[in-house]
Amino acid sequence: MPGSAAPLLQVAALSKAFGGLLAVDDLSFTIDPGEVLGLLGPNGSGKTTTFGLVAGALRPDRGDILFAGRPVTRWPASRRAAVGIARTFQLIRVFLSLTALENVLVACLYGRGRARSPARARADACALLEQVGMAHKRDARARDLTLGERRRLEIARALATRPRLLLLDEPVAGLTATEVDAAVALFRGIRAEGVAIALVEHNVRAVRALCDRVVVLHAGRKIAQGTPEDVFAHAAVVAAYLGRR
Amino acid sequence: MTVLWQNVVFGALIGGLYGLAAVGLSLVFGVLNMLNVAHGELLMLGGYAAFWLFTLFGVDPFVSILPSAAALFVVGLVLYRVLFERLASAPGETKLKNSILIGFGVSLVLQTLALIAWTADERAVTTAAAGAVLPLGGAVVPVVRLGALIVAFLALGGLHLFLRRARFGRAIRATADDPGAASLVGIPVGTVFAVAFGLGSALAGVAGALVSTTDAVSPAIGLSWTLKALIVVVLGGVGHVFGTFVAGVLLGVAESVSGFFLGNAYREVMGLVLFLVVLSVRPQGLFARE
Repeated sequence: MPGSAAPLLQVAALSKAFGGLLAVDDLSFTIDPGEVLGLLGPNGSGKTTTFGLVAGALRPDRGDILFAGRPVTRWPASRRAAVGIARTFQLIRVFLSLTALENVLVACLYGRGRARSPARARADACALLEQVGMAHKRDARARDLTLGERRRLEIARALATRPRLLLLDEPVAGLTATEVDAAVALFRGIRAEGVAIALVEHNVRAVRALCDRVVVLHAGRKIAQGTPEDVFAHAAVVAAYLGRR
Repeated sequence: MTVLWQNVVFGALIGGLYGLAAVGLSLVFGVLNMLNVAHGELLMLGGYAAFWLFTLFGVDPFVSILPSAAALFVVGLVLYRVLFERLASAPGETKLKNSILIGFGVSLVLQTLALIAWTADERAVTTAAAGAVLPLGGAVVPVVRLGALIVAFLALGGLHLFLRRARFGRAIRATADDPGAASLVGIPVGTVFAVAFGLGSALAGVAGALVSTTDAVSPAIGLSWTLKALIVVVLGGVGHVFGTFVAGVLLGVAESVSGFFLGNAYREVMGLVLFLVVLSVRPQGLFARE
């Protein structure tokens, strides 16, 4: 355990291959409590695979994952969620036949730090919808919401499990410029509550605005890390890898 | 005209039971993506439960609904844990196909066990109210059948409220939408699956007890009820409790009316024709939103 401020998440020498393709290759990084870390890289560089490994949807071939000092490498996703790793998906996975409120409510009722009473859970769920700016849509079915609304709903549902680390997979993809600004403000608010965030994102503006640090991946390997300014200044080599041109 | 009307009334009354039988099947299919083709045999067990409670202890079948439902809930849980649970993590196609195969096996075993235990005799419960009828616009409504329809409706209303309002009901609906995401928000998906299977079986138990008041119960009735339930699920679409109930009533009326016009031999044919037409024209079901 290095230093006094132990990292919240420690990923050490992680590797994962699909068939012959090394999707993640000997990757190491850490996330401190309350930090926002960006994972950058072109499509296919292993960002989403890394998320899957950290969240527990995938098992690594080699390497270790420590969360709050505990080795969680062999834990299933549900158990990791129970100790505070929450995620959103690149392809949004809200409960389509439930209302917005119910989506958040089930997470308040069953998630980490579950509410003691139904009334309390309901109040918590309403507050979370308010926080993500969805209070006015609380009785709408998720299937009737727009893409941007579904994203915000998915984030509210993730927050309802009271995570210590929130994994956001392209949370502003497909949003309008105004919606992006609103999302950035929302993530700042989440971070201000002490939740660490790992962010996979192509939107450079969002990354600059949010991330304390970024890790750049290429073909599953870490090729750069540092503050967004450093990394974005890192000349043409890195620029070539920064997302969709 | 009166005879036609009488046929409509009778069709609607029997159709309520089709709907009830179908909702149990639909619940299991919607939540677990498994087709329990032994559903009709579970209904048959519910029928025998009511029959024996009546014959041995004089319990009215309308009272036997509760013990029958409870017993079938347990039977469903055990069947799920022992046979179906291993499929839970299989990919969709495999899960569906293998559940059908397992269900066929279960249905054969249950039929044979029922045959050994209770012989092939057709059983029926004759309660005090058996002969009573109410007039309805020129037709007569047998009180017992009307009672069965009302109970079926109430059972489905209860299920609907449970799924909409109860904590665990919401967990069931969330799991039906996306088991992976449900497990990430802390819903005990394994328990939800088992309880959903048990609930589906309990509904078969309720339906069976009601069937014993109006129709014959024998070891062989299962397949025909499974088929009716399947047709109704296709007509109504998955995941709509009342849509399924209405589809059941529709099927009952369609069978009865076609029996009237074309002869009784065509009753079953009509149901299957409806099944094929809806499947090819509106595969999402008559009442599904999209």
